[in-house]
Amino acid sequence: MIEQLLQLTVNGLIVGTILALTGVGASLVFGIQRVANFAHGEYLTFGAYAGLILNVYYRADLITATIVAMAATALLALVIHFLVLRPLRSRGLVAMSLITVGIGLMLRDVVFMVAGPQIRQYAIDQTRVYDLGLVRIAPGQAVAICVAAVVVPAVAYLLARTPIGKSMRAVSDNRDLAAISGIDVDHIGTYVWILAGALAGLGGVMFAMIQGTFDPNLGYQILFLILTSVVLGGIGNAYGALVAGVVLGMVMELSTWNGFAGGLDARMKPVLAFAALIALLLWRPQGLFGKARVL
Amino acid sequence: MNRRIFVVGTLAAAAWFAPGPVLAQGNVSFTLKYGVLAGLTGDPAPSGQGWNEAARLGVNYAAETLSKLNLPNIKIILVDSQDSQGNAQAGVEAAQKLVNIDKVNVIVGDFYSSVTSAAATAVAIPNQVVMFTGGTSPALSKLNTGAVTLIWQPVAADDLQGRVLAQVIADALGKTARINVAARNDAYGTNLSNAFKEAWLAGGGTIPEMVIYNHQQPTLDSEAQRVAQGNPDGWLFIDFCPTFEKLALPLTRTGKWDPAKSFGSDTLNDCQSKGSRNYPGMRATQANASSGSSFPAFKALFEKNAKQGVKFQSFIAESFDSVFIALLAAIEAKSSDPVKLSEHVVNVTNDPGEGYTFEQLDKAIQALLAGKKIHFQGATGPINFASNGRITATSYDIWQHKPDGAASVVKTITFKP
Amino acid sequence: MDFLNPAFWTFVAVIAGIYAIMALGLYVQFSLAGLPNFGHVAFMATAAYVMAILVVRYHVPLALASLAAVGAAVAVGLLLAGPALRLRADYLAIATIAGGEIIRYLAMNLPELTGGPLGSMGLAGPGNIAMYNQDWMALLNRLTGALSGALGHAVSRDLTMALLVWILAGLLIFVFWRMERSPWGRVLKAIREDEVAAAAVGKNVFAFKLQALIFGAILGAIAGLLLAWQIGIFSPEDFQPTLTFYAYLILILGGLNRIWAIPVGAVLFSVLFSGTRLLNFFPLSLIDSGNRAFLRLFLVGFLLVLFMALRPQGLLGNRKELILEK
Repeated sequence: MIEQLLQLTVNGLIVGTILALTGVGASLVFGIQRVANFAHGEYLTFGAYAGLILNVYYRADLITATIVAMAATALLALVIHFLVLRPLRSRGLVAMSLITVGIGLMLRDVVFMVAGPQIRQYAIDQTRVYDLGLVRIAPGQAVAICVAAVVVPAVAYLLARTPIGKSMRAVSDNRDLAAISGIDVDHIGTYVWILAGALAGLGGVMFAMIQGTFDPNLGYQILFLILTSVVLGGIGNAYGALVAGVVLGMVMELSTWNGFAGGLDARMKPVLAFAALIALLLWRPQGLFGKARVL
Repeated sequence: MNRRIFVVGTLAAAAWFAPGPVLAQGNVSFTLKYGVLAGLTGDPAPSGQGWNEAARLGVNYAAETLSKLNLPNIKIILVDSQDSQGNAQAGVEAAQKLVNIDKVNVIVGDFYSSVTSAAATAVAIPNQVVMFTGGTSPALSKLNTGAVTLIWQPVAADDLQGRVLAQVIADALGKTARINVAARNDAYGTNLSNAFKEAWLAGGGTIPEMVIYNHQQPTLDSEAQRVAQGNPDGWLFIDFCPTFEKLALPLTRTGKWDPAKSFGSDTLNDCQSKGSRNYPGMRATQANASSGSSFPAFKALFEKNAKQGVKFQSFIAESFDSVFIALLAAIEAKSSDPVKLSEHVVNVTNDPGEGYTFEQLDKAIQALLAGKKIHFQGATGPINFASNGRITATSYDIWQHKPDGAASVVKTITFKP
Repeated sequence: MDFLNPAFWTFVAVIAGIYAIMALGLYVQFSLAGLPNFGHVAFMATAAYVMAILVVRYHVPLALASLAAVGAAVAVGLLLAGPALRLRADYLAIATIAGGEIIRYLAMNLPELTGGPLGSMGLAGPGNIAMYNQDWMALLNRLTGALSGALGHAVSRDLTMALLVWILAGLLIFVFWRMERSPWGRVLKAIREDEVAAAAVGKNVFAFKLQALIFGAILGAIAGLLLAWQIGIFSPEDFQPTLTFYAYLILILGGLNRIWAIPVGAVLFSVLFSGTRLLNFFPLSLIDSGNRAFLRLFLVGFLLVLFMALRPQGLLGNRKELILEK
C-alpha cells in the first residue's frame, strides 16, 4: 500500500514536471501573444525527434542531444513566429487558434513523412532499474528527475530575478502598463517564443525518455493535458503553470491508489484531469493564480 | 494423307504440350482493381501504413509474376490507398472515393471493425464490392446477409481467439489459475479481453486484476504496477508490439513480472520482428498451423522492399494474403466482377487441391488456367475460408520468445470450437 | 478516374449540409453571443449516443428517441451555462474542450452503456452489429420512391438525403437570420459588444447567453443525429475536438459575421477536405500512397493557414468588420 503510494508519487512528479515545464512556455505565450498554441504538442514531438537524431544517428550523449533539441525547437518556434504568427496577429483569438491548429497539422505530418510512423527509442537501456528501496525508477526517469530538479528552479529564478524574466511577467500581467514602463513589448514577445520553444524541446526529450518508446503522435497525445495545466494555473502566469502542472500530474497518478476505495480506473485519469479543471474554474474562474476579472 | 495426319498430329501434340499462356490468352482477360482502406494518419498510422505497404507489395509481386508468365490480358493494379483516419465517417467517405471514383473491385481494409462495418453497410455491399477486412469483431461476418458473401475476414475473430487463449493457458498453468489481464483500451483490446474473461471464468479460473490502459498515456508505470501485483499464477497481454513495449518496460522494472508465465494475443507472437523486443519465455498464440510456410519469405520480402520508417506489424500478413486470394479467385472465375470472384474465394482457399504459396504464385496461376483446383496457402496459414466469410482455423501455433531474443513455434494445438 | 462521379459528390454534399447545421449552432453561440465554445462536438456526441442507446437497447421509436437525444444535448448545454457566464473567453475555450473530451472519454470507457471503443456497433453485444437507423432508412426509401416517381427517373437515396439536409439547413438559417435581426438578436449583439452597458440598461445577460447556448445545443444535436443516421455507425473517434475546429473553420471560411455565408463555408470546406482525397493523379501518384495520406493533411493545414493569411474576412465577409477580440 505505502509502497504503491510512494511509487505513484514519484510517477506523478515525473509526469507533473514535464507538464509544468512545457506549461510555462505555453502559458507565457498564451498570456503575452494571446495565442492558444494548439501546435505546442508538435513542438514537443519536434524536440523529441531532434534529440533522437543526435542521440541515435550522431551518437551524441544525452546532454548534447538535449541541448541541441532545445536549440532546434527554439529556432522552429522563432521561425513560425516571424513567418506566420506575427504577421497575422490582429486576427483575434479564434482565428489565431485555428492557424495554430493548421500549423500543428503541418508539423505532425511532416514528421510522419520524414521519420515514418514506427516507434523510436533513445539509446538508453530502459529495462535497467535503480532500486532505491521503496521505489524503483528507470534510467530515463532518473535523468528526467535530475533535469527537472535543475531546470525548474532555473526557470523560476529566470522569471523572478532576471530583467528579462521580470519583463516577461510584466507584459503577461498588463501589456499596456509594461509598455509605458519602457519595456519593448515586441522584443519580449520574441524572447518568450525562444523560451517556450526551448522548454518544449526539453519537454519532448524528457517525455520520450520516460515513455521509453515514442512515435510522431507523442505531442498530440499530451497537448490537451498541457493546455489544462496552463488554464489551471491561470493563463499567462508562469509560476501558476509550474505549480498546476505538478499538481495535475500528482492528482492523476495518486487517484489510482488502492487506498482511495480501490483507486480510480486507470483509463479515467484524463477524465479526472479535465473534471478537476472545470471544477476549479467554477470555483475560481481565473485559475489558481490568474488575475481576477474586473467584471 | 498419312503425312498430313502425321503433320496435323504433331502440331496438335505441340499445341497440347505448349506452355500454359498459349492456352490462356484467349480465355481469361480482365483488369482487377484494388483499393486500400486503412487508418494511414494519426493514432492508427503505425498499423495502417504497414497494412498499406503489405498490400502494395502483394500487388507488385503479383503483377511481376503475371508479366513473367507473359499474360498481358490479366492486369492487376492498386488504384489508390485512402485514409480512414480510424473513424467511421472518414472511412465511409474514403470507401466512397475508392468505389465510385476509382471503381475498384476489391477493398483491402479496414482493420478497425467499426470502420469496416460502416463502410460495408454504406458503400461496399450496396455497390457489390468485395472487402477483405482486418477487423476482429465476430459480428463482421454477420454483414453478409445477401446471397453472396462479400465481406471476408482473414483474421481470427475475437470469440475464437478468446477461447483458444483460455485453452492454451489452461493447458499450461491449470484451469483454475489466477491470471492478471492487461489489455489496450480500444475495440481490439477490450473485446478480446472480454471474450477471454468469459471463457476463462466459465472454465473455473479467476482474474484478480484486469487492467485496461490508454496506450496514448505518457507513462504506464502505475498500470504496470497494478498488473504485476498480487502474485498471480500468470499474465495475459492483449496489445500491439509497439505499445506493449511501453507497458513491458515498467513491468520489467517492477521485478515481479515473469515473462515465462505470460501469454499474449496473436499480435505479440514475435515483437522483435516488429521493431521492439521479445521477452524470453513469453508465449503467444497464432491461428493456423505453422503460420504458413511462406511467412518467413513474406517477412523477408517486407523487410527488403517496404519503405523506410514502416515496420513489420501484426495483421499485415492478412493484407498481403488477401491480394493473392482475390487474384486467384478472379482467375478461377475468369472475371474481375466482385460478385463472381467472391463465389470462388472458398474454392481457392480450401482442400482439395494442390497447395501453393505466394512464392509459387506462377505455378498456381498456371494450374488455374489449366482448369485445375488449387488451395492457396497464405503467409498466415492454410486460411480455409468458410462460406460465411470467416476462416475456419482448427490448428493454432504457440510461439515462444527465446533467450536469444528471437521467437519460434514451440507447439501446435488443435482447437475444437 | 471518374472525378465528377455524382454518387461521391452527392455524399460529400450530404456531409457539407450536416456540417452547415453544425456550424450554424456554433454561429449562434460564438458570432451572436460571443461565447467561444470549443466543445461544440459534445452536443453532437450526446445526441447521437442517447438516440442510439434508446433505439437499440430499449427499442424506443426513432422519433421519441430523437427528441430525448435533443433534450440530453440541451441538458449538457445547461451544464455549460454556469461556466459560460463566469469565464473569460480564453478560459472558456479550453474549459469547453475539456468538457467535450470528458464526454468522449466517458463514451469510450463505459462499454456497458455506450459500447465502448467499438462504438454504436457494440451496443447489442459482441456478436451483433447494432443498427439504429432502420426506421430512418425506411423513411428515406419512401421519400426516394416518391421523388423518383415525381421526377420520372430514378433518384439515389443519398440525393434525397442531400436535398433533405440542405432544405433543413436553409430553413434553420432563415429562422436564425430573422432572429438575428429581431430585438432578441440586437440585444445579443449589444451583449457581445459591451456586456457592461447591456447589463446597465437592465438586460438579463445571463438569460440571453443561456438561450444562445440552448439553441446551439439543439442545432448541434440535430447535426449529430443526421450524421449518425447518414453513416449508420459511429464510435468515440468520430467526435474528436477536431470536429469543432472544422465548424469554426467553416464560419471563418464563409465570413464570421454573415449567417448566409455558412453554406458557402461548408461547401468550401467539404471541397477542400474531400477534394484532397482525389489527389492521386500524375505527378502526385509518384509519391508513395502512404505518404500521400500525410501530404493530404499537410495540405489541409497549409491551405488553412494560407486562407487565414490572405483572406481573414472569409469569402463573403467585409474586412472592416473583422472581430477584434479582447
